[in-house]
Amino acid sequence: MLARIQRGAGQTRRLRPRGSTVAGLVVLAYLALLAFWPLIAILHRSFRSVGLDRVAEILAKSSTWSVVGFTLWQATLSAVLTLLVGLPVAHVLSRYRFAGRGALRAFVVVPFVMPTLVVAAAVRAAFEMVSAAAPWWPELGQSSLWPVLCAHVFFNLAVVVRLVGGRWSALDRRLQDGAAVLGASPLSVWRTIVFPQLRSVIVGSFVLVFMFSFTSFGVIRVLGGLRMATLETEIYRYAIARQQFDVAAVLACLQLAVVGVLSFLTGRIQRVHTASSRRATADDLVPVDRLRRVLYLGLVVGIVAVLQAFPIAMLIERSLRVGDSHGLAHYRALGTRLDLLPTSSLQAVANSVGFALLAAAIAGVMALLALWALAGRGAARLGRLLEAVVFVPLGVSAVTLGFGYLVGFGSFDLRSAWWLLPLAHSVIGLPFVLSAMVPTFRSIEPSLREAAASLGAGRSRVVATVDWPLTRGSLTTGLGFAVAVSVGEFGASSFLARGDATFTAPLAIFRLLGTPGDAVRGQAMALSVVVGVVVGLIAYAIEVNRSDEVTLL
Amino acid sequence: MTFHPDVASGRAGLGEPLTLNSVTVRYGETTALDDLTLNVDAGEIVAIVGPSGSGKSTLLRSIAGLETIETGQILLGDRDLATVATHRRWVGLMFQDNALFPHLTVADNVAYGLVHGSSRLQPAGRRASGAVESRVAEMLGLVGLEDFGSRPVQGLSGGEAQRVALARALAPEPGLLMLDEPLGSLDRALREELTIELRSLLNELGQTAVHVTHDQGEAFAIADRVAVLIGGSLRRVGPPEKVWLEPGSVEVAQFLGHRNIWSVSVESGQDATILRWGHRTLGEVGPATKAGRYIAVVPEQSLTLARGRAAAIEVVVDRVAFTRQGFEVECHSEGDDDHARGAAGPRPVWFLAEERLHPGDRVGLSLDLNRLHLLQT
Repeated sequence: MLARIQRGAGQTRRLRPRGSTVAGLVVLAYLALLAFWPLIAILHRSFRSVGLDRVAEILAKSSTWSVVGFTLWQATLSAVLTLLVGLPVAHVLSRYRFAGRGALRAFVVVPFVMPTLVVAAAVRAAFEMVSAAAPWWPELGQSSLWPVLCAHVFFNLAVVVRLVGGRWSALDRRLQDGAAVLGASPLSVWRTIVFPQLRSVIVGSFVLVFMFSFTSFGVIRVLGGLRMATLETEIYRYAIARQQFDVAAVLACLQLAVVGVLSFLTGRIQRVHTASSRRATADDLVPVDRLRRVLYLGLVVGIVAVLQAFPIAMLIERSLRVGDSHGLAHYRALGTRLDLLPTSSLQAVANSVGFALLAAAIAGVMALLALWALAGRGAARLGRLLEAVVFVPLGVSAVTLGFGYLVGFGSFDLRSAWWLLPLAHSVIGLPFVLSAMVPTFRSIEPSLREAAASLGAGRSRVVATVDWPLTRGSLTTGLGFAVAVSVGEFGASSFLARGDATFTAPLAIFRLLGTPGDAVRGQAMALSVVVGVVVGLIAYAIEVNRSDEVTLL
Repeated sequence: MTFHPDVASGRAGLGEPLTLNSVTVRYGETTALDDLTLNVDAGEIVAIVGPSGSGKSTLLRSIAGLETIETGQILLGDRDLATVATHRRWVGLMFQDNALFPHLTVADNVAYGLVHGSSRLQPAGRRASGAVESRVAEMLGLVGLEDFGSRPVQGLSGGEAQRVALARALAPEPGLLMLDEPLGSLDRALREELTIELRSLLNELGQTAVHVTHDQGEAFAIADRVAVLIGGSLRRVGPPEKVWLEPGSVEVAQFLGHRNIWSVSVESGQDATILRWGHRTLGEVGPATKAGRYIAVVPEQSLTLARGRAAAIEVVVDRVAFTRQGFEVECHSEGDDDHARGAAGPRPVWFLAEERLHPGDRVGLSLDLNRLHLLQT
């Protein structure tokens, strides 16, 4: 009897869907094979087949440590710069109410999913323009770190604006009012009330930006020139150009170690973050007078114009410039194959979109299965295990993953095994789909399911009439992100693409950018614009349609 | 738990007088406060009541400097606050849902104004840490939370949190304490208990206080004077009993909860001036009252069972509900004619009975004309 009553306390357990164990096992098998096996293969390669002596020898090389040092250094600089630029923008966009705020916010946030190669092309176009106009400023030239830093800020501004800005707008204004009434000056209010509440999220976004910059690959390869070497580019160089898998494997392990530590830190910070977040309402926004509106808008528009709009404008300008005049010649040429590419540029875009749709579909199915398993978590420990591992791919860099596929699935002939590419992309996209869906799914009040059940709906009917309608929107958002990320994916594709069937748009941009000649360069820019527009439209649609603030990050 | 006002003995006379002169606040097109004038004496407690959206919170926020007033004057003591920044106004404000700083302990919350702000008594700011400590202990003692200092604020119950908020607001010795629905989120029994304690504490301290609430009962219980704010302007200001018995307008009467609002007429006869409700004669009124049509606001207390005396009206009981004050009876008058009949049927008549009546009972009611309030139509 007692047992019965205790069971009754967990009434909702009976509403959990059937078959959740099977669903969980499918997702686990998918992750084990496609996310963890490649990593294990790298570990195995570096410690077993290579031998500890060789590992020690590689680690003892000073060049290894200078690569690690430089990777850390540029990531630190990128994160500091992004925070310096991002905090004022986050402040203005999240605290004040003025016309154009929504559009500006979207403009700042959308670049986060822009393909790295497109951004790299844009930043290069911008720097070429600036250094042509200012020849007395040689630091802006090819081998400087500035283009890389600018590209990293371009992407990661969104991280700071979304994370810090989200928390900022959710701060309870009454606390600041209360402090002011108690006699605290505006500076004291900031120091004693506002900053302590923002500290964890500022640190969190610093770590995230650091991590994204640490694992940056496409940007470094395009903008860093030949001499700039980070862990990512060295893994690629040793694995592909030099065919020294052992060195690449050891470097990949170093990479995994750093990312592992950082993921652990961000995980902790994010937990703190979600514990205390509150949704901001329109009432929380401060209306501003004319002078401040001009000042604030000027600040944000200025930052956005210099860092984001200017490179995009230069990219577009370069794509249209034919000789000394402007025209659409480079765009028309996208349909014809150049000798240095295995397919035409347009075919590469089509390949990218096709793979992206396939990858998003796989990620979507896996996400639904994972939610199914999480919903039935009362049944087994399986759910908890799933929860622990399902976000791991987010921390693994695409380069490491791609290299892992090369090591782990090396027995396949990559020329015919085209399907490895969309599978890898689906692993990269899955965390995006899940991080869009899980918060929404979790926020469904259990009482809604109980109400449906009490009105006579069976288990599957509850899922169909309550869970599905309420989660559907977030699935669309997540799928949008997965498609956008896959279209622009460069790191893993660099390892897996062989031949014309798997030749994607980012690879085409990279190869075109690396080849001298005005016509080729113009085509690189035109192709970048096309890919950027495709991804930008997807991202803008997501940003405009999103109903809540908790997705992606 | 009770407050211990004796701890603060010797501090009586803390409060300063507050004067609001023609204060107007606008949000774009809407006028939140319309030419509002109010005087609060030193040590007086004034409760502002009004429906939600009537401008109550705006009034407090304007006094605190959290809203900009468009025109008018706000004087506290001899200081004109209009151009003074919030943090130098030296007023206390207690928020609904307390707004305690979540990252600070109870003691640090109470100490906040002492450590980070200046105050009227110490305009230059900073106090010695020993002085802060003893003041915090004193304030926590005042609200009956002596041992709570080191606790985090998250674990506090609703009532405890509001006591801490009160201690925090009082610690810097503000000339004026403003309370914005401070008891609104508490359950009823606790609210009533705290209302009484709050009043005796504020009286003991001689604290000038403006208390905002939407609950008329709370306002009547706590205030020396009640001010009814509807649509951004003060419609009635006065001692609680006077505002209740003489609401001055139908709107105020309805907001305060009057339910017997009748359309009556005064007729001058040969020997007397007669008050009539439809065909019924309710009684004689003073000859000073002009003949004509009026709205009569009839408090429930003025209607009692006639018990053999001449009944002013005969009613049929419709519904009976027990309340702590007695049996609340809803009935309709017998033989209603057009005047007593509303558009939707007979106008209900409400009164309090000491014994249980039953639906369908026919009873006669006598009416205390002295407590009846006539409004010109």
